[in-house]
Amino acid sequence: MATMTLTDMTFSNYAAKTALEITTAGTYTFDNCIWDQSGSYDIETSHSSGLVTIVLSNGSTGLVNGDVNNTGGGTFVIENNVTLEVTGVATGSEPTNYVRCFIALVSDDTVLMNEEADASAGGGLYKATEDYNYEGDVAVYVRARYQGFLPFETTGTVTSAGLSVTAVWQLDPNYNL
Amino acid sequence: MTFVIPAWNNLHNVSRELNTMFLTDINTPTNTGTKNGGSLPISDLSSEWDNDDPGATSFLRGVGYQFQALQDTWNVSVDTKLLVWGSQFNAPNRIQVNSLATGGKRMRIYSGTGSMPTNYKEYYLGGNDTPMGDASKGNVPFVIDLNDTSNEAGSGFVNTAVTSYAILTYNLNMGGGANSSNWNYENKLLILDTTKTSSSTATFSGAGSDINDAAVKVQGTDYTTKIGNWVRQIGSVYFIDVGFRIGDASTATTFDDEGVTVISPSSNDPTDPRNRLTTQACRVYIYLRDNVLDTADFSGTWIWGTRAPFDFGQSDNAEITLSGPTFTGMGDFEIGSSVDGNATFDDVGLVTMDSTASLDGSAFNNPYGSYLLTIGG
Repeated sequence: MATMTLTDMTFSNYAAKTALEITTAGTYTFDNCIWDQSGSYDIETSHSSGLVTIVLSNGSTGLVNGDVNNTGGGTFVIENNVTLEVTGVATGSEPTNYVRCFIALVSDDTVLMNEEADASAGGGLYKATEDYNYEGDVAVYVRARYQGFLPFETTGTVTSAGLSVTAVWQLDPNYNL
Repeated sequence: MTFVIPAWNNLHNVSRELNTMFLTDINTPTNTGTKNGGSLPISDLSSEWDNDDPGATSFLRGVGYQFQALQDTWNVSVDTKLLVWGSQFNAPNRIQVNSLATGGKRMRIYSGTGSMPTNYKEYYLGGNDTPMGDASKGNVPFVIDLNDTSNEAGSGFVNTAVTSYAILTYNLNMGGGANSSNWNYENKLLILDTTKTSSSTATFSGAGSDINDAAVKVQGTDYTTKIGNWVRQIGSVYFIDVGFRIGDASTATTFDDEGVTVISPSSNDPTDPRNRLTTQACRVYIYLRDNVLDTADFSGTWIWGTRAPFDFGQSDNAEITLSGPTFTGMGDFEIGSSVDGNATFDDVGLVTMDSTASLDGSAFNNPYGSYLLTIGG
């Protein structure tokens, strides 16, 4: 099983051809690699058996299953890890209590992220993050809630660059009245 | 730091009938002998012969030689050899050769044995309308890959039993007198191998080696040490008409292309078909010792006219560093784990990368083959 990481590569002008061939099962991470997607396929997996895991990270263009031509006897999976983030929130009582942040699909309410905002975002504010396997743009709704603050909700789109939402975070003037 | 080539196959420094490899004349050339200052360096004698006739009649004449004693054979069917030579004429009124289309200057490569074997392939290398015969140009280099099949004439040649060669001209009365005369000087003949492990493959070797070593070897440091024109230099641009290797896996070698441009010729250029090259002719190999002290650094521009493969497949303690070179026009490119760095691969064959090599930061563009890059092996 091979394990390779390729960084900062570009593949361009391969009309009617395929940019990259993977011949052996294993895990291949592409860190900030760019395909101009000018060809028939961006990747061909020609391995005879086993699994090829294609990990796309750090700005690598958002390849989806349709960009991969599986010609061997094995299988492949794309892990296109993008980051979902809700930031700009705070309970005021971290690290004891954190704001709950939530992202779900508009289409069927599938939860993509349900995390506490436990990472510092600077300035006394916090953020919640989650890795998400990008398989195409999707519409989502975003929520952040904590007692004493007005619920924050908005919508957005997860793209190949991920999603980052800065909450409009306000004290609830009616709390404890 | 040197550019190592094997010993000359034939010095051609005696009259042709005294040359131990002489086979026969082809249609009786005249004025055979030796010429002072006819070779390279100019201090060396060359063999000479004349294709001279009155009036407008054109004749084909030449001289044939065997490559090896006893007409021993070469089998070039697996790995080819390169015939590296130069054509030199006398003054302009002695370069009365016919046109390229009619084979003004020709080479034949023979297989089989005999006083002059009958199975050959014939190349039309130039004429009065190409650089080889259009002026008093001195030594005009040419390279014939013994396995090349772009010959214009001949039949029966087999590449498993190569024995002999002949140099010929087909004259033309171009004026300047009643006769049509071309006076030919035969310079030293070199035969190069094209494999990675052969000591007869041209080799960059030693500490501090760079592309300029090849120019110094062939062009010399002055007229007393110049031996040919098949490596040429114009500023930071180098023209190398043969394949080569970097290192011999035995001699401590550090190589740096110093950011220059290296250009390898195309084959059978219709306007100047002096070079006849298969994709084996101009192969490039890295063949360093398995030693961290052996290094090869690249930052220049490598422009290849044939799809010869590049073998950078070294995978051991030797260090091969790519600092942004550009490679274009060559064939398949093998990258071993000794390679680290970034390059631009533009219109090259398949780049195959070892799983522990690093080409981070590289750009792959315009594939010649089916893919830009293959990984996983």
